[in-house]
Amino acid sequence: MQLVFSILVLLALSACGNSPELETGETKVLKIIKDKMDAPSGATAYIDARKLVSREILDGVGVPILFVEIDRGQNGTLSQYPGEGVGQTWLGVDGSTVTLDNGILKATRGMGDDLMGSEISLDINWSDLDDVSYERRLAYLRLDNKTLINEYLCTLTDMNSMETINLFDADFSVKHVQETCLGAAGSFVNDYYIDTEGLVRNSRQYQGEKIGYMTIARLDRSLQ
Amino acid sequence: MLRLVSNIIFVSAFVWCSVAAYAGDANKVSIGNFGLPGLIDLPSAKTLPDGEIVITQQLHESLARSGMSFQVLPNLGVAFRYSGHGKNGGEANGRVNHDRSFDAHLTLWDEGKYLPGTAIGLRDFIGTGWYSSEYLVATKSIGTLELTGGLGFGRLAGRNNFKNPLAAIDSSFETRDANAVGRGGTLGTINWFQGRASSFGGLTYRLGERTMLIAEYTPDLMTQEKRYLSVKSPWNVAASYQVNNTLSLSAQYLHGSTASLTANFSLNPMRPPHDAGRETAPVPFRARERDAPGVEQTDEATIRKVFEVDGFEVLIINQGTDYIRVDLENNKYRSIAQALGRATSTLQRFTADNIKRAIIVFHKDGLQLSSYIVDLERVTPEQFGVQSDAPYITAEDVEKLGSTSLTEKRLSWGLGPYITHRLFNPDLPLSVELGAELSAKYQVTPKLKLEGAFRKSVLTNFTENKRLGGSSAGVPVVQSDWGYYDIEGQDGHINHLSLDYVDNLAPAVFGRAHAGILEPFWTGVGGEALFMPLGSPIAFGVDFHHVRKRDYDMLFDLRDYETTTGHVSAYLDAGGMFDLEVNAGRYLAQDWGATTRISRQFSNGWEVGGYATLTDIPFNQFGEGSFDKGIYVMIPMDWLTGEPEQSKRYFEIRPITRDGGARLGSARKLYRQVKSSRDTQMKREAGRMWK
Repeated sequence: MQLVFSILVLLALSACGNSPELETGETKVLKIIKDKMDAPSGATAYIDARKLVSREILDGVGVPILFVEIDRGQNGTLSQYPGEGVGQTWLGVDGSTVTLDNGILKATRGMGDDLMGSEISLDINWSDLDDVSYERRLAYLRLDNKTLINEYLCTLTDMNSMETINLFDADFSVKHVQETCLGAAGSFVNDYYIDTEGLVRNSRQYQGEKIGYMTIARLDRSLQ
Repeated sequence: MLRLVSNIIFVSAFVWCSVAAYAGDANKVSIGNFGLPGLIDLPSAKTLPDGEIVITQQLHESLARSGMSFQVLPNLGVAFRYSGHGKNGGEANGRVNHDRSFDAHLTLWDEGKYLPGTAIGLRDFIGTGWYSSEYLVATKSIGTLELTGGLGFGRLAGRNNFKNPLAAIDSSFETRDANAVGRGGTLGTINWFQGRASSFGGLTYRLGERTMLIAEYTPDLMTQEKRYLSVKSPWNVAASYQVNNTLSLSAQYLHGSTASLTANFSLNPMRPPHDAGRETAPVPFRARERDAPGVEQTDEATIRKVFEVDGFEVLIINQGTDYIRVDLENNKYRSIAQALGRATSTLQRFTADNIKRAIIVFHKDGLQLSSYIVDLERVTPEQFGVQSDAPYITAEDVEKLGSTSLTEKRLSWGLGPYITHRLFNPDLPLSVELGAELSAKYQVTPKLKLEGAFRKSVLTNFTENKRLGGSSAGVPVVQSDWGYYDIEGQDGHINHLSLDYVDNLAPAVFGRAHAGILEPFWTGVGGEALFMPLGSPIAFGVDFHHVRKRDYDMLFDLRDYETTTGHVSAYLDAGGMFDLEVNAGRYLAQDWGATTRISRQFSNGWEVGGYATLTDIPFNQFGEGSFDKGIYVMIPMDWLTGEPEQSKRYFEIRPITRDGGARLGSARKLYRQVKSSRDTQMKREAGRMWK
């Protein structure tokens, strides 16, 4: 069997043509197996954007930059998608996007287990947060390709603290706001740090069951 | 014919690589040697997850048992197996005989807080009945311990048997009617739950998340195996280990005499290796409200560029005063919902404000398959919203695209490996051929192509087959002589070489004609037509071919036999779990009859089904198996890779290949091709629209 498999791999590697349409099924499967075996084993190592991006670079480029990091350590910087969209969509170099609405995570794409969309029953005004409660609906793609909608009842709490946070060697004075959401699918707590201009400068927000929380920070000094 | 084992090896290897870690599941169901919920040889009353597919291999000194099980419904599991029994016998690997068997396991109710789960089952109820038995079984968990007890009938009513308690209900249960199996392959004598009964039982102890210790007391006297198997004890013991989410191993000591090893390989369409799948993000919608920044000019160049990145071939883009029509060939996404969502996203963003509607038309291989109309303004909130039914995208028949020139290269070719195999030959239970395939396609016009493939074997044991032929008296030999083709095609053969033409004959009517070397055994001319109304779950088709048998070397010579074959077909897309297909007409051996095919459809492209053909050839004339039947699995490659990909792998198990009910493999292709792009399929996986 080992001989057969070796010959198959050799044949697959030597498979050629000018159209993927005429690849044999065996070629396709063997290529997938080969790609899988070529992939690094063990813990996945990610490129840390913190080591690539400096405050000098951020100030130098002069365009809005978003930093996103998920709990398993993968991070990157995203640039704003041009034009006015439904919310504000940010594009990463890996082809993934993060869409925010008034700083609140609305959707992700290109991350595998994406947050497909969301709705919020209230326009959040970050400067007036007394006793704010509202409903949120988060949509996910189920494994049968149907939509799963999780509903939550949420409250926003002004933590009554002004603090200074440092993002890539720049200090920002921010107000800490906490969002607590509870629903049949579970609960989550999001933290937002609002700067003096009313911009969500930094946040840690729930994306979904598989990816968990995302840290989302606005790195550029200027407002767009 | 069959391509099962090679496919299983490939898919298994891939899934094995894909499932890196074991997500512990303390409720993982223990699978027995018969591929269904069980202890060791005995059943339990547990239930496999809906859609679960289990491939089982058991080996010991006098047994090689291979099987495949499928949880057809949440409470119904079925299993098929092929077992080689004995040692020092005259068949392959010294077996005394080889036997196919088929089981069903029905969960009556699941385990509750106090109530044990309860199931009934039939073992080997089709065919010669080597394992013919039935059971009623209950299982209750107490912490890490699972207790199982039941009543066995038939073969499971051996030791300490007693009068059948069901005889109190009806005296016909008291005596078990003898099996009258005929040529096998049928239900034979319905003697289920008849005759004397025995009790059986066992326990499973979970030693952590991965390991189970199992002991069972079996009433099976192993009467048929005693001539080569030492049966010293009614007790069987085992230790099983869950290696990962896919593979479990069980080391067993059976009958007080025999060490045995069983591997169970589990897959589930609803448990993809890469969860929801990985692809780059689609183009985000732009704001189209009244106060949003206006877009005065449609950016056709960018639209074309994004379409190209998304794997669409643009056949034509037409703009009217308030609409844009794009005719596309989707070469990347298996999911029509996802393809439609991608095309919509691009058009919503890059068309001008005056463009209110997008007409998106999908084509494939020269056929206009489906068309959708999108309200570009009202659809705007949906991409990142929580709508799941896409109300602003509707399927509508639109005018047929006029003649187009070829945009793709005319000649394409490929060289790669192929694997074919044969199963169920008692002398050679598994034979495999590995070779190289050179294929080429010349697109004469968008609707007419010349396509062929030449194959040359590299490694094969097909040539070791000594059971050539196998025709039945009075039935023309149309495919039972496949062994001769296997041997004489070794120098290299033409797999197919035909001229194919397709066209949209009328709205909702699709046509195909082809001529040449249609498939390995047949050359000829014919075609099919399909009527598939928009939005309808029902479709009708007709196919008609005049064919002549190819010579065994599969080059250009022909044999004497020629015939006309054709069918009328009805298809029902139930929209939920099952699809039904009936083909009635004349088969290759000039027999008249019908094939019924039922398949479980999963919304991610998986399909698991079975078929049976009954014709006017009597069972006893058909030969072993009584009539043609088979089961199959179709696995979408994007499920395996997690990346957009259109191809699927087709695995079929056809227990017996004889001449009755034989049909052309290339006769009917339109239904699957058209259905994959239609709105019924789009709605099945609408959640993928904006992925």
